[in-house]
Amino acid sequence: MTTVPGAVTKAPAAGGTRRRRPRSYETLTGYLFVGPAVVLFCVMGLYTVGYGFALSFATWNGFTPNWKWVGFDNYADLLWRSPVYAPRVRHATLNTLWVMIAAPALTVAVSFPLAVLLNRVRRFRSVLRSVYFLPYVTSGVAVFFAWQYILQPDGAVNLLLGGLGLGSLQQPQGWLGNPSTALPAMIVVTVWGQVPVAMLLYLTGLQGIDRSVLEAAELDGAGWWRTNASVVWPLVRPITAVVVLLNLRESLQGFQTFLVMTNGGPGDHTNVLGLEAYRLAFLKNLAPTLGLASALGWILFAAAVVLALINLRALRSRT
Amino acid sequence: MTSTSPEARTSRARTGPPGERAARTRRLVARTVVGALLALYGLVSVYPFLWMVSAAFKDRIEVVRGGHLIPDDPTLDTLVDTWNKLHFFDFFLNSLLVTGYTVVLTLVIYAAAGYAFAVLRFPGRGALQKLFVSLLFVPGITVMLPIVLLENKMGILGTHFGLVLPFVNGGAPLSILLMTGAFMAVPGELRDSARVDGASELRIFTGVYLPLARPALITVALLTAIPTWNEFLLTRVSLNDPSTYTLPLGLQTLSAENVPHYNNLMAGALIVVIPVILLFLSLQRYFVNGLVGAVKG
Amino acid sequence: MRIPFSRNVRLAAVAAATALSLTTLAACGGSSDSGGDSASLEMWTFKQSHVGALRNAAAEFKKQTGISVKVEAYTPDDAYQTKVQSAAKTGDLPDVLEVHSDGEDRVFGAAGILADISGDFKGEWADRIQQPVQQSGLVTEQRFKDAQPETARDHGIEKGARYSVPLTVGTFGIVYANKKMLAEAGITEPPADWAGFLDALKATTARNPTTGGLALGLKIQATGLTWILQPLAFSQLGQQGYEALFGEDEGADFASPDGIKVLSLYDQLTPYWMPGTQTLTIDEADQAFAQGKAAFDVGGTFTLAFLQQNGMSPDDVFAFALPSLKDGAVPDRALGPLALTGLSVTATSDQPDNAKKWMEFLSTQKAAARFAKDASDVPATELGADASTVLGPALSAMVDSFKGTPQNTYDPNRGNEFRAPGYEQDDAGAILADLTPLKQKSVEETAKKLRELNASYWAAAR
Repeated sequence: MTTVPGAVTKAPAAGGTRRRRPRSYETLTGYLFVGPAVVLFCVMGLYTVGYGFALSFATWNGFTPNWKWVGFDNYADLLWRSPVYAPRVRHATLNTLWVMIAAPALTVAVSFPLAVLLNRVRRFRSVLRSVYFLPYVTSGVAVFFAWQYILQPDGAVNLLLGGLGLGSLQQPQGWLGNPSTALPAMIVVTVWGQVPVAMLLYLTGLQGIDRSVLEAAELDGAGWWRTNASVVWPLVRPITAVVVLLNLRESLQGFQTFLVMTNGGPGDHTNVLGLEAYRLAFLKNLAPTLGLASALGWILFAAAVVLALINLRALRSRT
Repeated sequence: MTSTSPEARTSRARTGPPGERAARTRRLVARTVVGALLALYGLVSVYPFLWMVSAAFKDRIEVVRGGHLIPDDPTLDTLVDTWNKLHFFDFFLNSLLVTGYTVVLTLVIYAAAGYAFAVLRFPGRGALQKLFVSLLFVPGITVMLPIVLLENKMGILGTHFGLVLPFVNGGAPLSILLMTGAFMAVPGELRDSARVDGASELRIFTGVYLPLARPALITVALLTAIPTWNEFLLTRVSLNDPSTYTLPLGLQTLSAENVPHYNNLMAGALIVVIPVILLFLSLQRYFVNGLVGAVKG
Repeated sequence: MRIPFSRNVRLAAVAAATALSLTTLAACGGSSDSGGDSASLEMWTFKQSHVGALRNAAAEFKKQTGISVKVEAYTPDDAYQTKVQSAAKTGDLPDVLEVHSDGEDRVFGAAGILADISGDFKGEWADRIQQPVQQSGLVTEQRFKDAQPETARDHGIEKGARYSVPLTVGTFGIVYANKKMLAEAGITEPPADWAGFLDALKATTARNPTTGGLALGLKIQATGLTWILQPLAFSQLGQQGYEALFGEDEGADFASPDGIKVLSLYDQLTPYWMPGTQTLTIDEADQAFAQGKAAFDVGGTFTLAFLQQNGMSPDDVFAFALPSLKDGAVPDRALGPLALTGLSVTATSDQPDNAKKWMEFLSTQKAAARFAKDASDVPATELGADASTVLGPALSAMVDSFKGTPQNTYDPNRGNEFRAPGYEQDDAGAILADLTPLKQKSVEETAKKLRELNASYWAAAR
């Protein structure tokens, strides 16, 4: 039961008193309950996932009737062998690492306190919650255009800095135009897009916390800070695990924000692995690189699974 | 229930008259700081959206001129023009159908699965659960083509049903993750006592667990509905018949002219997003009150 | 969005590809007439901006022939690509496809998706197409030779086959200048050569540091390379020297003295870029120029119409080919036009003759003129005397002035002949961006990186 983070407070409810009905009955019910999900996966998922996986061992441009099987060539080319692809993958990996570290950390750092504070205020609570959730609602392409205008040389960020007398912090080339600020700016935009869901999940978790636990902490004389840090935070750790998991996926495989806002630029300073996979699949002028794209996708899959396991273990061991 | 925490402290502060004044000042400062922080992030959160709104009131020249929020020469033409071109009601119903079916199916299928994973013991449970969670990381880059090919064979390509199935399947990992977590939080004693009363498993699920997991259900519904509402790519590739188009496809036809007009784009995005905002506003009432009952049991 | 234009350049540069021999209907002959009167054709395009114009043309076509044409656009690129892929697999391809000229058409052709129309495209139909792009879509001797390696993208194409007929044409490397801003800086006519261009930039940026610069959509990585550096290199080094930059000979590649010279010339633009131009797409850069945020803008023939749509009158701009170097090998370099998009008949169309009729209809002067107006694009059809009224005086004058001799014309269509197979202009563009405008690397470091990139493609090709 430990592979999946459960929400809040109670341990899995495996009571000793419930062994009343025969085991086979519970097994049967179990299968009936997961049945629809499994059937749907077998219909829609198996074929598509298998197709993508098989493709990673072939070269294909998407149009010729047959795939050409190449074994592990695609993986080797991406990881070390190809003089063309391997260096690009290495460079993109570095950028992706930054996103992978910074985005989940920042998302948690913003959304947890936000949820706690939001849980505390009484007035404007529903207004604020809606306001904080807006980025998720508007997360179409349009809002990324809006971000571009905010970050450009005569955009809102530079205007604001100028207005505050912090002109020296302004980016005359725009925040996406300077190679050293472009990636951080993209991380901020990513976090901005991730906070709403994280906050929502934390709020759900906070509401599930038993009042008596908090009251006990307060009776012990713990202040607000300590209550949150040493009582609430551990209790919502499973939520944190989910939030980190979702962020991990976004940082590893997400590319849309980058595609729309920077296209990997300036130069290739914000090229990330998700974007590179997209390029291999769709922007290679019909070169037979679909297999490479798929292979890169599965490399990311492997990396994500490993990281997720580490993440879960780390968060579990401290509970 | 969540708002009672400051009150609790207030009453405690009142019991000690000497520290009352200092405590009150501290509370005031704390409240101001909290308010300021919340407002600040609120601004960050909402600013790009405000910019979209402002762009919807600019003409197509002004919209690309700069990052200023207040239009120099606000015009309703953009919104009116976009509205007329969008054929909102033609596509609204399609969007609603696709999103509605997706959400309902997601809730039914994955609440059941989550219940099984959280509460029931059966062989293969751990492996199945790991499988579903790991699906979260399956690369999306190459799934689009096989989905289309598969649906063509099944004969559902180009139908709304053909969109709903992959959407529901795609939501499996997150939905299962959240539902399992929520059901695990329900005290096991509830189930035991229900069984003593002779309730069937289905009855326990629908009568005890589902009502208690309402916040999680709402969360899953929101996290399913919003991306489905906005989905473009698979929809674009799958649908051929304009009478089946959803709003995001309708939005695309706005740029059927020679130049992309960002003001129209923003106005269109705004119009498409408004139903989602309304949905969120109407759901969040349940979201707040949902757990009150759960904790009291 | 105009991304396809740069994509097209890349296509032209691509060496050729894969697989499969095509079961071409080599002798189509145009004999079998299946043309039912109530027929209906389907056509797909990836260019949203062509949809309206094509539908107007379809209405006219229906009036004349009774054949209706349903035009559908699939954008962005990934949607179009997946759509065509899946349709090819499921047998749901439309009758007519709009394709990127000279690249995509041959890849499709090699995969057996397109019909060979060499038997039909002749006589009056062929004569209507402008001379310089008539060969576009045809598998010439050279293209066939390039497609021989099995790694070539269009491996499997048949010699002499024709997979597409050009629909629109244009060229890159056209500089637009804001007359008013130039006048304010004391300049009254377009610069005659590269040095003059730099002087003009210097004057306008001195006059106004933030808005006096040069706009270019560098977010699309290849633009700096294909729209400025390559025509510049051609002028400096001549055709041979320019082509050798991409070769394997280290005595003549980017890190050779010739290459360093070219990169240094390109680097001279560094102080004059419009702030943030590296974050803009092609359209956004053009818009910025139209807004008066830059004094100069580099684009193509197609840019003028776009500027007009963004509120800039053609009378307010100078338009000229990217200036040549007075003391270069080709001081009077011209820019050759190239086909940008073409039309193809799919191999699975059940009414190929009607499809060809539709394509031929689009190539008629009248239909092409209407298309030009509706889509603000330059058609491949020779418009003759009508050209100036259709294209407007500015554009037609511009198109006229680019007609050079074969010796002094920089032809963006060439590429396969001298570049490594699989060469990606975007990758080179990203390296160039670090030189300018980003100033992350010196000329020598950039040269070395470009040499390494070249070498990696040559190595991968083996």
